[in-house]
Amino acid sequence: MQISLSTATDPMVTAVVGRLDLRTAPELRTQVAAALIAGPGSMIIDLTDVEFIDSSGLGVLIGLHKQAAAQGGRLTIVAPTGSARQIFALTRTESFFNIVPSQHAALGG
Amino acid sequence: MKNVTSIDTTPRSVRSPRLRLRGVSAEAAAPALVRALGEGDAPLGPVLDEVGRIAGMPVVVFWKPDGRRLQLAHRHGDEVLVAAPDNGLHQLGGTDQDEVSTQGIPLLVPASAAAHPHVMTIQGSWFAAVGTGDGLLALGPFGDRELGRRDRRELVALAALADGPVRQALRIGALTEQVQALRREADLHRRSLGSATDDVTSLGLLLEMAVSTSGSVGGFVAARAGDRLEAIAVRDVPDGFAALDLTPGHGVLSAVAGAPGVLFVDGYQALLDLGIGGLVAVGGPQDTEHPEVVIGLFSDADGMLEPDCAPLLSTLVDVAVIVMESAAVARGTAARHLAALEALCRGLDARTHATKHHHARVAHVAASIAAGLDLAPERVALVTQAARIHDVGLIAATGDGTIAAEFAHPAVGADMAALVPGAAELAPILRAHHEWWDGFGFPNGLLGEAIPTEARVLAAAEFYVETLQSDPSLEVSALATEIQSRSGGQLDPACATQLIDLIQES
Repeated sequence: MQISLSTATDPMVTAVVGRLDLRTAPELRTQVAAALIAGPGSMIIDLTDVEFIDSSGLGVLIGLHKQAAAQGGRLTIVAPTGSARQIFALTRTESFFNIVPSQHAALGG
Repeated sequence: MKNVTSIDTTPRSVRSPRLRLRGVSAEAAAPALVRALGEGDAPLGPVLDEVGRIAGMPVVVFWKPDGRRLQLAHRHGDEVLVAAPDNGLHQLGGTDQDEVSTQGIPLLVPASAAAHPHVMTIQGSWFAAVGTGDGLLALGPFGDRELGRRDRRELVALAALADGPVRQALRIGALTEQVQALRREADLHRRSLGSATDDVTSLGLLLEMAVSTSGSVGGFVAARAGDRLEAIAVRDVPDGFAALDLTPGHGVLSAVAGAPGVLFVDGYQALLDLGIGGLVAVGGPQDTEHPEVVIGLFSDADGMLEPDCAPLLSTLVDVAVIVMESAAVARGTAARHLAALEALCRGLDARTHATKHHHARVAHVAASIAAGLDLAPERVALVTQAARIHDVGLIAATGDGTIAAEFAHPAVGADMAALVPGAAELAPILRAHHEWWDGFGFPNGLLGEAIPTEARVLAAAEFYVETLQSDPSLEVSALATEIQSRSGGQLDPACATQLIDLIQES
């Protein structure tokens, strides 16, 4: 998994590439949680190029969503384009998260 | 549906709209297609519906290859334009054609269908067709036999857009078929065991299939037991897995307050410590705050789960819920049948003052002996249940006092129990409860440990109750002496010792 974190913008943007599972989810949580504390409080997590999300990846996203909300910010998720998108439908978390189709849409474009 | 068997190869002028593929946007269309994938066990239909909406075409036909043949997978649209498997499909123009067939009826498609959008007729109406990675997609009707350059380009874009969801839909459909086949197999297996209550075996079979088709190295099925979730079927779990608490909020899994059915991994360090690299867990039934059943699949530190294992799990969880509900219904039915047998026994007990409450008394003593022998709780329950109906075979006695009825009642009772759902496993106990440890009992003269343990316990309990019924004034010491004298002869020594301990304690 590759994580690209940009804290220069508001909201901040984190792009993830690869698989979001038990081995990689903790790293995403560590980086984004720290950025949420230090930065403006809102974050776009771009999962466009994520190919797989397991239940621990989902857990990290839920935790970050709660953290952002607790800080008065907002977590926006750019949906994966592939089958990884299914985890949100299957776990019925589509309405729990703020999911958008593209970074452009997340930025209000 | 209009069933047309003749093939009309002459395109006719139609008053249908022109192809409207312009403005197809992958970004705008993808979410709807993915949503359609979540609609039921056979999502190909909803996916094709969505493809039709994106393209502005009322009829969408999809064929999937099956060797040299193309099988009609789905048709969406009105009832006038029908492309049933027995109808022909002809491509117009081009010479590079391969002949294939649908269910024996010739079907012509271009050899280069996968690469080039083309025009064909279905029952005389024009359709735009294009190959996808998994088959042939046709949309129509439209009012022109020619595809413009832009139409061709956007048809290719549409095919590319539809390819992934169609592929996923086909896979989900195929998996659903596998699950249904497995359910049939599990049902047969359950029936062959003579018990409809064996949900653990069925859930184990479901887990077996889930693990073998998902790229996972192991998994578990957990079911609700009170306010906890406990693993009732596991496969290839790592050492230490049994120590994990699978109840949401108590260990590795968590739920989201106010979001029924959502499960996620919270304590991932505990899983990483076991060498688990990935876990997908899905709970059911859907939309319940507290799941009744959870199926989880995991990969090891180096392996990877298949990306689409989550929909497979979702389907299997639905099946697991049905299996458990069916088993619960079957258990309820079995309990009612057992209650009927118990009612018969109460009737037998009421025939004389001496035998009043005989079955209940024997059951009470048998439970105490079984527990004292440290039998497992389920075996204690089995002995107790057997004791509640042990003399049901006396119902066959004619009342003429013949000794034949007394000798026949264990076998008669066992035969009755064997026919009753939920009581079949009691039959051997009923049959052997008058066997003696030294082989002098009836009906089969079984010896020692050839007699089921539960039957030996029942024999000791009944001896105690009948001895006291015949002489209620018997002192404890005399009773103990009487029991001791039967030890090793009529009674299993272990049961006799346990029985003596019990009466001396009381």
